[in-house]
Amino acid sequence: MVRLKNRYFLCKVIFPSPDESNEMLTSQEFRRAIEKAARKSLGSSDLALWATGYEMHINSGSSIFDSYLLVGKVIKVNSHSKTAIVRVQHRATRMLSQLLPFIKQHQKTDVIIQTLHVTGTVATCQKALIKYERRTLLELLRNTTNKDHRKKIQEALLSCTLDLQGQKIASDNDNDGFT
Amino acid sequence: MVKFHDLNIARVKDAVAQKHTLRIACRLGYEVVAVTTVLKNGDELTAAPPPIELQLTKEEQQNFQQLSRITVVLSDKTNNSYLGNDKIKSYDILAVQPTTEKSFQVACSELNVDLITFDFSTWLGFHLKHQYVQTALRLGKYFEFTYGPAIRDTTCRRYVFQNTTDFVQRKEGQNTIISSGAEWPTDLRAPYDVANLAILFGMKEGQAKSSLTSTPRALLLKAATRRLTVKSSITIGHVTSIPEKDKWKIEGSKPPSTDAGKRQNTDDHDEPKKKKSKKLKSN
Repeated sequence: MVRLKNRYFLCKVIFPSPDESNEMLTSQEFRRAIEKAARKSLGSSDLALWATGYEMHINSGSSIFDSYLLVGKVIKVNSHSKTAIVRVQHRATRMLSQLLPFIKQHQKTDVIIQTLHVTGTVATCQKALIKYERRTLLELLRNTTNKDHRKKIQEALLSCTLDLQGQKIASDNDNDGFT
Repeated sequence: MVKFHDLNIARVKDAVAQKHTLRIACRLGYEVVAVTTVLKNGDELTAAPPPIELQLTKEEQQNFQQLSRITVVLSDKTNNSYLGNDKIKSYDILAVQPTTEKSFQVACSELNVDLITFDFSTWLGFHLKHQYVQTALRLGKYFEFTYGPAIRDTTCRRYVFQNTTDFVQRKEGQNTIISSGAEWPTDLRAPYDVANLAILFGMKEGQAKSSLTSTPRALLLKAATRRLTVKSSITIGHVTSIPEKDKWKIEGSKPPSTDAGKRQNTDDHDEPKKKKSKKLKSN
């Protein structure tokens, strides 16, 4: 039994266009964007190294990880907060970290990809995501004056705790890590 | 906490687009940003424009600092005498962009500038001689390279990689800052991603991060000494500009002028002696 080490990238996709709320982040398009950038800037041997041991998770619903789609590559996408999780082999970590800044377009719209965190397991990646979400919600809460909006944000803040996600983290860990 | 700097965001005529670019830079995590005016041969020199008003939240406004920068394009024929001008001094940072080998030599040795920058998106047209680079480093000048063209265009990318790796090898990554040179918000990248790019350009991890944080800060301090001091040693400011907590320094440095004050002081000195003598008697 050999453990294959992986690295999980937590990425935020920023749409610099003024009508950002209308833009949708889909996992297939995001994967296509990464592959396009990889084909342009990597050689064939690097491309092969990067493409191995890489699966894909999709989220289309309200909770963070809903359904899995295994196509040999892992990407988890949250279309509401426009965050994505990309998994690569440990030895291709640096390659992906240097590839992500060269991604320019997602579904023919200009994007900026910001790497928020790089972790060794999905669980820690999810923790980092929750931490990030909490921080953005707190910032929103500070800057809003509308009472209804504040109530909604406070409810959202209470709902995003680590305890609620703990069960899901355990179920996620069963699926990956060991071969 | 360290502050991330991006000291080269191009000034665009469209005010709305300019605001949008700056807002995106703030959102990505940059705290100090400089808006660059490029002065080419024959352009009219104007004083630094005021900072652009961005509708930011209170917290963002406290952390976000906007500076002005001028980049003078140097060629063999340009007259460099106006670089000590008051209008030039109104800008926070003075950078030069040499286009020939001779102008590069002049920029490295003779001119009193903060920053030397290059257009790395095409072939430079001359070699960066080690000797000139060393003199510039000895005089405390800084070098800059921009990553924006590498993201904008694939043909530019090759030139940027070629020039920057050569440049970093020559200088061993000392006194180098990395900036975007962004005209549009899509050219910007988040600070940690830029640090990753810098590793691709041949810098070490520590150097890559410091070229976005501590080195630009040192550059800003150097620029301040050029603009605001007399021979980098004395600054002159009005008394009212001193903050409340430091005012005791001025009051303490006033010489004692009244005689009454002197007498009081002498009395104070005598009193403890008397007390001591009383104590001795009682014993």
